Amino acid sequence: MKRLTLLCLIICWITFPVYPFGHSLLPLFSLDPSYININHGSYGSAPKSVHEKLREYQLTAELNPDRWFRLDVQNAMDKVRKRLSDYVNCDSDDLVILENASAGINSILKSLKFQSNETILYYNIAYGMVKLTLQYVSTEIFTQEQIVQIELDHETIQNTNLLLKKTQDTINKLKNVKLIVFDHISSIPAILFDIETMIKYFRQQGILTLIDGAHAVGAIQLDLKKLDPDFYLSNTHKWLYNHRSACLLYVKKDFQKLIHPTITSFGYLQSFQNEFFWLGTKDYSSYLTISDALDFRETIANETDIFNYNHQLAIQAGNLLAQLWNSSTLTSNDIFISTMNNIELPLNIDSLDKMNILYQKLINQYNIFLPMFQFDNKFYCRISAQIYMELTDYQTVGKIVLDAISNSNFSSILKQSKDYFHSI
Amino acid sequence: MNPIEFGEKTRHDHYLMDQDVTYANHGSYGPCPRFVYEELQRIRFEQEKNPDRWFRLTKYTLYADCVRAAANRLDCDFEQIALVDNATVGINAILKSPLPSFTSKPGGTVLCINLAYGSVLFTIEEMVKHRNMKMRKIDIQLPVKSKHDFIQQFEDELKKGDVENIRLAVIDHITSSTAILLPINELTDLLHEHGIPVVVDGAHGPGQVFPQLSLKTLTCDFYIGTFHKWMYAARGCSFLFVRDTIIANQLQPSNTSWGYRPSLSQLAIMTHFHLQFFHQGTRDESAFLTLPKAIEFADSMAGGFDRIYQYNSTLSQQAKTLLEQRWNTQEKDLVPSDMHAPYLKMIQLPDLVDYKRNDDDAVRLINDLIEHHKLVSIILCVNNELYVRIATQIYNHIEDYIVLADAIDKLKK
Repeated sequence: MKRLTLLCLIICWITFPVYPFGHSLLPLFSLDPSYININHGSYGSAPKSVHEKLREYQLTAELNPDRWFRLDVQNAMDKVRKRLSDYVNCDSDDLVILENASAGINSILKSLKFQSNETILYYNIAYGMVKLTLQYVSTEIFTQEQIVQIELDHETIQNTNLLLKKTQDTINKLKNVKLIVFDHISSIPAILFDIETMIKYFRQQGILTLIDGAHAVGAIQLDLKKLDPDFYLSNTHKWLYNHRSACLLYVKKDFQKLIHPTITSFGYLQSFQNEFFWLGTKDYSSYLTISDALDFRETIANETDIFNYNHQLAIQAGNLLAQLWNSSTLTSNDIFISTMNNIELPLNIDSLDKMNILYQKLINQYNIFLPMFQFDNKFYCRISAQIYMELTDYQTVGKIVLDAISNSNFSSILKQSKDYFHSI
Repeated sequence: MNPIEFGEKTRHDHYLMDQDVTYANHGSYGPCPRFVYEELQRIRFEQEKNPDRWFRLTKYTLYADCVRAAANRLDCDFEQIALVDNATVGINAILKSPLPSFTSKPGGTVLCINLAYGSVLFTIEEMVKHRNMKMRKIDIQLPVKSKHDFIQQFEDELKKGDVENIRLAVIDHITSSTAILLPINELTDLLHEHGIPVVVDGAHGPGQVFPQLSLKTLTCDFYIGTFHKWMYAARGCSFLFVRDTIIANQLQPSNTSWGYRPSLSQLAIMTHFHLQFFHQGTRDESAFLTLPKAIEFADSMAGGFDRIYQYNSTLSQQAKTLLEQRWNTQEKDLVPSDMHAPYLKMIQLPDLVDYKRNDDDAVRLINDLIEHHKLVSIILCVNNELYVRIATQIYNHIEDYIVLADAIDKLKK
């Protein structure tokens, strides 16, 4: 019996995280302690230990810039790339590290060549920058008719079969779809999609898949070998804890010869890796902190615990706010929720103008940045969970929102609304 | 406040490079002074307190202020200049944009010179492929005895004909691998006579050319320059100047992002041109924002451009004379003295035991000097001879070049 108790204790000790999650982790980060960050998803935040390493890398570069750029940086980056590839389970030759998702999306969309009758599909919930890039290529490289949007609504967004059925209707009409762009975890609304099923489905029809996984790495388990996309990108500075900014871009071996960075420089015609490495004189330090971010995570807890804490907190926070505001979350199906949640704003917020006023008021009067958006005729906000957050934070913000609404004079809509919210 | 004492004292007090290393190649990566580096750290830290506030609000006003400072310093209008990471970003944007001269008629050529920076030539090669255009490269023969001879080589090329098809010309202000100061005004005028718009790759221009760079008084259509080479800004701070603001707003950055369709409130403080190049998604733009401190360093701490120019250009000439005498490689200049870059000089190396006169061995020598001699320099192969391109900056003094002389002497035949 004693041996059994001892065994249980040992198992408990092994499985409990080294640090408890929540506010006790806040001092590890550089956020202003008075600032409640319910929007970690937009810009990410790195712990102080990662910033110390960032400064070390920068100082190393300053000690002998020529040595750094000519001899050392590419080796240092190879190591980081290998470590990151192991983490996401892919061949390190198939992965490059870029500045951000814009660079990743642009590299793919501006490299691919299509015939004039071939089409690209995307969904209405695609990230704003992705839509802008698609708009650009539809005017400068392809034609408007070649880029087609599919509308998702409340129903199709949380039902993979219905989503695929809706998509197939469009595919059947067009008959020559070559590429489909979709999210792993969309931005607004924040929904986690079953991309493994979707990738298999599209591959059967010979349609290439470009997945915007900006919010994925560090938030959920990511296994690229298992998912097997054609093109996949994810920002490491959002949920993995390295310093802003860095983005991994995975390109399936078969396509690497076709894909080039939008910036031409010294790697020209050398290799996929070299082309994407040499893009002009730059600071590689934030990329190098990817290793340190992974080290940091290991000191906090194992990966599953990190994923679970954030996932559960997102669900609980969503439910709490829905109850507080007498509204509802966009989905109550946990498999479509990652580490962010979407909650319908209180009833009074029934127009874009009112939503904008509330958004601005929260920033200006309460120092709260709460992304808001309209989806399928309803108005939502998006909250992010994070290891340094606790349920009480969302309680506080929830009350602040009610306070702000009760103090708002919505008749003064004439002022030109600042529309920064577009850039989430 | 008394300006700082240039040379060893500045190296020790104001720069971060390893004190054990002799640094004779400021030109490639332009290490920034401690004063600016600390500002970079301060800005990075500021971002962290409230990232949403920084990325949604604060950074825009700070960027607009920096553009204003840039326009002021380089003597141009706010609407004509945008900050970009580096010259590569600038040249890629211009060459790959749907400029009227590219889109008005199909085909055509881009004129450039063999002395252009390597990645610029690659970019031209890549771009002409996509537009069904051709690259027309003038093979400038060196040495050149006079400025007139240099310009003559351009004229000779244009006399060959097919000039109506040249859509754009790219010339350097100061070449990288040969440290030549081109007569850009005369060349621009010549090219303009034939209706050819001109891009000047001025990576080494700002902070080095005398008199101080004034974009208003130049006549070129586009100028790409850096602040991080010779103007003390942190690495990752350069600019793109477009004389015609209508064209400026038609330029497309290589990466399309949020700036493609900016918001009204963003357009209230800067133009679409600015936002296209600035609002490129989430990234660390701290280096751009060090420009005001870089200007302060140059003006207050270093005592102003004239003082800096006097020191750097004099030391540059002294170092050249010293090295040529030591190695007995006088009279090997590639261009006449009025085409020498003020702070960059090419000195032919003596015959070396283990290094042949080719590009690969030039690179091998650079690396060996870094690894085994604690010496940072840049070796280049021009006309089948090895040259060292020395740079002089306010932290250098003549002893640095004596160290270089000694190191090379050890490798001599």
